[in-house]
Parts: sequence; C-alpha cells; structure tokens
Amino acid sequence: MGITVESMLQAVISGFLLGGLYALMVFGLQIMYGVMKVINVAHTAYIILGGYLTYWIFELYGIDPFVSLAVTMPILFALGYITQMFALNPIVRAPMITSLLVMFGIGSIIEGVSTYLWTADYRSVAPRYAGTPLLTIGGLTFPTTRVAGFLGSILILAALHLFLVKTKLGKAIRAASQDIDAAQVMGVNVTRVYAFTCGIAIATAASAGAIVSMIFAIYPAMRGIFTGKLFCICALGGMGSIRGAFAAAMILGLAESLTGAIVTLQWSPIVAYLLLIITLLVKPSGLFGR
Amino acid sequence: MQAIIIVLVIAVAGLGIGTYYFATLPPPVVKEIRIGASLCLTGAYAESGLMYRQAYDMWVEDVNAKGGLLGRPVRIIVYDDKSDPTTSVSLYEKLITVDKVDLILSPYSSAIVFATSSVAEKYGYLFLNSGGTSLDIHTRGYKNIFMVFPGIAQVYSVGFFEFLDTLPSDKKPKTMAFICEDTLFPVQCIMDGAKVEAEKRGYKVVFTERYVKGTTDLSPLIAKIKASAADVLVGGGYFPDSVLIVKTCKELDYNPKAIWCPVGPSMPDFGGTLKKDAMYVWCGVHFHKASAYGKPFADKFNARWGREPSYHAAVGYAACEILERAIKETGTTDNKKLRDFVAKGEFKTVVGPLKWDERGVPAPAMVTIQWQMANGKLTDVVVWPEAAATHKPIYPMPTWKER
Amino acid sequence: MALALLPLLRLEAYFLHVILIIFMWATLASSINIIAGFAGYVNFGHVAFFGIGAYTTAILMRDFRLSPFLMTPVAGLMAAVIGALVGYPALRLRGAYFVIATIGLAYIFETITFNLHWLTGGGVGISVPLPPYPMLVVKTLFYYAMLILMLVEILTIYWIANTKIGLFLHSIREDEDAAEASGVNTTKYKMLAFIVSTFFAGTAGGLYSYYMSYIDPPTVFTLAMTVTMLLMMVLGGKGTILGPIIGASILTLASEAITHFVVSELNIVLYGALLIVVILFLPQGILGILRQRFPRLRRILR
Repeated sequence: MGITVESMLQAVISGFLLGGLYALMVFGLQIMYGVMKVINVAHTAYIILGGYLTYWIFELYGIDPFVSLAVTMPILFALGYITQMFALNPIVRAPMITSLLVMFGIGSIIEGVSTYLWTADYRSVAPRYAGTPLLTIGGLTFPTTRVAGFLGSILILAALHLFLVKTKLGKAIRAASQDIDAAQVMGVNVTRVYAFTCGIAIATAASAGAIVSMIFAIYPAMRGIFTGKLFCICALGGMGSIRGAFAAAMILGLAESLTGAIVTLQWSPIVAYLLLIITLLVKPSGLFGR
Repeated sequence: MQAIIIVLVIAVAGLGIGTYYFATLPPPVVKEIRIGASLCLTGAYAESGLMYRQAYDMWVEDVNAKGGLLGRPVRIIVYDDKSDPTTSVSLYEKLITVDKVDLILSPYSSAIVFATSSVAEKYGYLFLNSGGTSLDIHTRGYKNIFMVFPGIAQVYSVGFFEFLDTLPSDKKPKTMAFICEDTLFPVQCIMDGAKVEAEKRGYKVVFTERYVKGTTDLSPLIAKIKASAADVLVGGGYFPDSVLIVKTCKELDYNPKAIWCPVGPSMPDFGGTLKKDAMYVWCGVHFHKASAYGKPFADKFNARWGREPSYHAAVGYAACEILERAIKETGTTDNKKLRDFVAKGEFKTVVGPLKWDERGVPAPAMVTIQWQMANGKLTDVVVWPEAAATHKPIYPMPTWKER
Repeated sequence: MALALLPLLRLEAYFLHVILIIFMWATLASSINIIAGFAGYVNFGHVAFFGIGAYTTAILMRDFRLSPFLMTPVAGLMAAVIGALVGYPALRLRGAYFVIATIGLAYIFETITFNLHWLTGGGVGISVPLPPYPMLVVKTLFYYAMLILMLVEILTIYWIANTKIGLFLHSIREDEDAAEASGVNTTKYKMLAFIVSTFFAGTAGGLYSYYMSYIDPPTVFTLAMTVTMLLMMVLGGKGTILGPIIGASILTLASEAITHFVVSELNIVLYGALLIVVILFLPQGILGILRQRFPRLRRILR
C-alpha cells in the first residue's frame, strides 16, 4: 500500500518540519503557564488571528509574510499586553477555572470578530515561493513553505531564549515565574512583567499564525483542531518547560507524520492523544516537567 | 456593580421571554408569500452557497418585477447555516415554526440536505432538493423531496470513465487512487460512484482514503499516492479541498495522467484561484454556461451579478422555476397540493427537462468538463459526451515541470 | 407541578422546544456541577459523555429500531461505564493536569467517532429515523422526557448534597489532602461523583440525538458545549442545587433572544463577552449573591 523507504523518509522529513512549527505554536502557551500559571485556551485563536493579519497585509500590500512579521508581531504583542492587563491581572489570585473560562470567552470573541472581518471562507497566503519544493533530493521533496516555517521557528525560539537569559527583563520574568513574592520583594514590578510576558507569548502566536497561513489554509473555527494537539504537547513535555515543549512538539510532529504515512491520515490525531494518555498514566508531569 | 450585572442578565432573559410572546403571535396579515431557506454563506461550502443566494435573489427580483405570484409579492428569508448540518436543522425549525414561512427552498450539500429534509418531512413541507445529489437522501421513504439535479452523486464521474473507455488499451491508465472528504456527498460520489465505475472496468485501485472535513493539509495523503504511482487521481469533495489537492500535487511534484474532482472545478473561481495550475483538471457537472438550456440563464446571471454561474446557481434557479410554475398552475401555496403537482409533472428548467420517480430521483443527464485554454482564456469547456462537447479532451496531462 | 401541566395549554411547538431545551441544559449544567461544583474537579471534557450517550441511542435506533425513550438509561449507563474507565486514571491528577487531560477527552472521542465510520457513520453522521407521531405529540413526549430526567437528577443531587457524600465532596474541593488525612476515601467519592455526572450527561445526550434526528461528531463533541455548561453552573452558583437550573434558564433564554435579534457572527462575540462578564463580575453566581444579601433565605436557596 505504498510503504516504501522513500515514503518513510518523506514522512520523517515532513514530521520534522511540522514539529518545528508545533514548537513555535506551543511556546506561547508554555510561557504563560510557566510564569503566570494561566492555561491560555485562547492561544490558538490568537494564532489564527495572526494568520489573518498576515493574510490581510499580504492581500492589501503584497508584503511577504516573513517581512510582515515586523508589523504583526508588535500588534499581537500589544494585544497580549492588553489582555493580561485587563482580563487576567484582575483575576490573578482566582481559581484556575476563572482564567480558563475568561480566556475561552476571549477566544470566542476573537473567532467571532475574525468571522465577521474575513468570513469563514478558507484563506491562505501564497507568496511566489509557496507551492514549490525548495529542494528535491532523489524523490524527496522539501516544500519551501515548510522549511521556511521550520527555520523561522528555530530562529524565533533562539531569539526568545537569548532574551530570557541575557536581558534584564528576561531575568525579571524568570524570577517572577519562580517565586512571585520574592521577585516582588526584589523590586520586580510583577504586573508589568506579567503583561510583558503575555505580550511576548501572543507575539509568538503571530509568527506561528503567519507560517500556518502559508502552509495550511485558515478559517476561524480552525482553532479547535490545534487546541487539542497543543495541549497534548504541553502535557507530554511538561507544563512550563520550554525544553520539554520543544521535544514533545518534535515527537508529535514525527508521530503524526509517520502514522499518516503508515496507517492513515485520519488516525493521526489519535496519536497525539495516545501520547497524552500514556504520559498521564506513566509520568503525569511530563517528560521534563517539574 | 454586581447589581447592574444581575439586572442586565435578567433583562436579557426578559427579552427572551418577550421574544416568545412575539413568536407565538399569529403572523401579520400581510399578503406576501414567504419562502425560507438556510444557505452556506460562510464556512467550508461558502463558495457554492453564495451562488445559490444570487440565484434565489435574482429569481425573486424577476418574479416581483412581474407582479409577484398569485398577485402577492414574494419574499425570501435566508439564514446562514455556516456549512453545518445541525445549525441548518435548527434554522429550518425556526423558519417553519417561528417565521412561519409558507414554503421552503433547499440548503446546500448532501449532508445538510439529508439532515434538514427530515424537518421538512416532519412538518409536511415540499422540499425541492437543489442542494444534494446523494441517493441516500431519497431512500428513506420520504414523500416530499424531489431532486432538482439531472444526476445523482454516484454518476458524476461516468462521463470521464466513458471517455477513458475510448482510448486504445496501451494508452489507458492502469492504476487509480481515490480520496474524498468524509461527508455524505463525497463518499457517495467518489467511493460509491467513481471507485465502483473503476472496478467495473478492471482498473486497479491502489489507494483509498477519506479525510475529515476541514482538513487543511493533504500532503501525507498525496505523498502516499505519489509513492503508489497511481496513473489517475480521483477525489475531493467541494471547492476548498479540490484547490488544495491540485496545489499539493504541484508542491509534491506528483504527476498523474489525470485529476478528476467533483464540484470544485465546476466553479469559475477554481481557475481564478489556481490560475494556470487549474488546467487539465476534470469534473462532472449538471449544467454548463454554453449549453442550450444554460446559455440564456448564464447570460442573465452574468449581467446581473457580473460573473458566470456555476451549476449550483443553475439548480437553485431551476428549483425556483419549478416552484413558480407549480404555484401558478395550482393557484395555491398549500404544500400538499404543490407536492402532488410536482410529483406528477415534467418541468423544463435551466438544467434541462426534469421529472421524477417515486423516490424523487430524476433521470441522469450530465456532462463532463475539463479546464483548458479556449480562445486565449482559461475556462472550463464541455469535453464529453461527444454530442455536447465543444472541445476535445486532453489526456494525459503534462507534468508540472513541462508547463 | 406547573411545569408538568404546561404542554396541556396547547402552546406553540416552538415554546415547548425552548423549555425542553432549558430542561436539557439544566440537566447538563447540574451534571457538571456534581464533579466541578461539588468536588472541585473541573472536567473540561464533559461533553464527551453527552456525545457518547447521543451516539448510543442513535446507533441503537438505527440498527435495532429500539425506542430511544427506553434506551436513554442505556445511553446513560454507557456514558457512565466509560466515565468510570476514564475517571479512574484521570482523577489521580490534580489541578492543571486534570484540566489538560480532560480537554483532550472530547477531541479523543470526536476523532474515534470520525474514524470508526462502520459504526458511527464517520463524518456523515447518523440520521435517526423520525418518530411516527404528529409533531406536537412528539414535542410533548420529549418535553416530559426531559422534564422527568431533570427532576430525577435534581432529586439525586439533593440526596447527595444532604448526606455525607456531599460533605466529603465539599472537603475534597476545599483541601483534598486534609480530607485524605482525615480518613475520607477520596478516590471512592471522586469516582462516585464522576460516574453520576457522566451518567446524567449521557442520558441527556441519548434524548438529544433522537430529538434532533441527526447528529455528527463535531456537533456533539464540541468544547463549546462544556464551556456553556460551566458558564451556566457558575452563573447560577456552583456547588448549589438550584444554581445550574437558574443559570441554564437565563442563558438559554438569553441565547434565544440573541439569535432572534442578532443573526450573524456577532452571536459568538456576545457569547464570549457574556462569559467574561459573568466570570469576572459574578463568580459566586446569582444564588451566591442572593444568599449574601438575604441570609434568612439561605435554607431555601440551596
């Protein structure tokens, strides 16, 4: 049924590239949980929104998706900042269900506004290099958009890592995530730090969205599909662990792609959930969890 | 602050109660004829939904310009079901029980028609099915549904296979791959229709798979098909996935000898979206803008809306034509009388003559199109059957690199 | 009592429809209240059990022509059995982990339902054969069915709340470790709460599929439904008996009103906004506020 060495290798390549994208998508979720202990169920809505903004800019001005990141990321950063300041900071000390429902509400609002602005038709961004393979080695293709997506993820993740480790603000964020009261005593303005963190998280959503709009076609209700997968990655990698998230994202990407190649595409989401179940049964805190 | 919120919430609830009160009043004594429908104005099937909308609107304008029906103005109430069957079901319930429409028109897609026809049957409303061609819709013993398409899902691809039959045996394809969206119509069209036709003729089926509605990444599927080296790819569902299939084939450099998709390539936007990549793709349709019945309608539609109609607009309009004639000749808007009239009659419509068997299924009369350059323009032309064809089919299709 | 006599007033079918839907949501919101409100375990995948119940009756009706009115308890049992299987490992998790695990639940069942298309019809869904009676009779039948279901559940919850089960669940919600240390068998009571909650969700689902006469996976396994149930629970007052019913009534009416006056995408925006407003400003729920303002009525407002 078409299981050849070639198709396996192709699946591995696709899985790898996909994993990189998943890692970028899940990064924002991880930061928000790690620092603020908020499970942002609206994260995927922001990602799709980022995709729509990229689409808009591309359709109106013809600007390449990677270039328009210079605009979309700051916009979504601001959105994240505002979200934290007005929706999440007030309920910082409330039980988890509160922030969950609030973020779900925000996700619904984003979805409704997206549907209103761009309708539910499928949209995709197709710069000239889309739809063509970047390289072809033997019979193996490396689609340009996916490679771009993968490289983009790595770049952004590396940049963020440097930010968190080298800059003052980054260190403040890490301090706040470890011990909020101690950080406050040390003079860290926790409110601002939280808002900043949320801003960064949502900014990464913008970049993920830009890449998603190129590789897939987007529509407002799409966030549901990704939400499930992203949460499986978080569980697998351990909530709050960036390294874990990256590893889990790669594992999921590969597992999905290989399942699609060996068995059938329709079962590949199940793979994510199987991994989730196994993780929860064996080591609930995930691969690298605390 | 909290008090305000509570007051607000109770106010909204009060609104809700108020709504019932108004909903349960009898309809105002206006003489208009109200016709209700839900359409896929947004969502996966929006491309076609809009065609229906424009067809319905155009018909209403024409009818009202001529003084309405039975001396009464006609009004169509259209809701957006977002391409979702359950939403459509509740919208039809609302149209019938709250908006108290006299008549209903069809929604789009077999899945949605399948679900909502139950509502129509429950309340005894005539349902002219101009939205779905799956045979399953008509095998439940319902009395009020009539299919306004000259061809059920299962026969869409027959024209393509008949063409292949004419090729000399060394030029015929050997292997075929079949994929489809996992909803009613595509499954019946591809799996129960095309695949069966292929097996009847002895072609080797090397790949079969369904994908979930809303899947936006088919590369694992196409990669596998490429690895199986199938000569012909038959598959799809509606507009977005047919576009995706063609794009993915190009991206992965998979070069079958032919690609056949239902629905998608019948829409003018197929060429608009894919541009040159749309070339050589095949499709089966109920209506073509260049045909004898179709041309007057296509010209009128183009003049009104500034674009060519797809067969969706045509069948939508045909349903309206049937309704119009039935109302005029029975002199009533009573669903039961209209239904009896339609069941016995034969109607000339923009998709040809239609009459039905006891299940509500008409005799087939479809044509096959292919996207080609005609007079310097990229467009779909009829290539089969020969009697209706304006151009010769092009087979096999050139590889992506050759174009 | 008044509710039972309502259909005899020969009201419009639509009216009956809305009230019966209120009963259904009241049942669902109350069912999630058992595990989330009383025990403090917020099951984000609760809708999965609704879906399981819906598919159970749909399949039984399609293949064996067994009347869903009789099969509804079977649907509930099916959901409860799966609830037990899922609950046992899941309830060992706390807080965020439980949430994440359960968010996946609905998606898992949705995917399984899509893939087992020989059983469930996959994406095509199941069209349940229509009841062979006239419309108004049918609506009345469903009205009573939902009413009975809701009443049975309320009685069950009343019983739970007033016996030591309720007390133990309360203690689990407040401080599980302390409860454990005091000798409460937390596992047993958590499981009990979970199974009861899934049973009622499944039963409601079982009636729903027959009522709608068509279901497909995305409809009955949607996360939005769980959120609606939670919202109703919080709006009315979580951990109370009457709270979810109040929440369900208000929200269903509000939703119908919104659909009538705002037919577009703004629908979902308003829904989201309502969610946020209620959560931010009314976390104790209406019952909570009333109890605060009128302490003497506490005994009635439970």
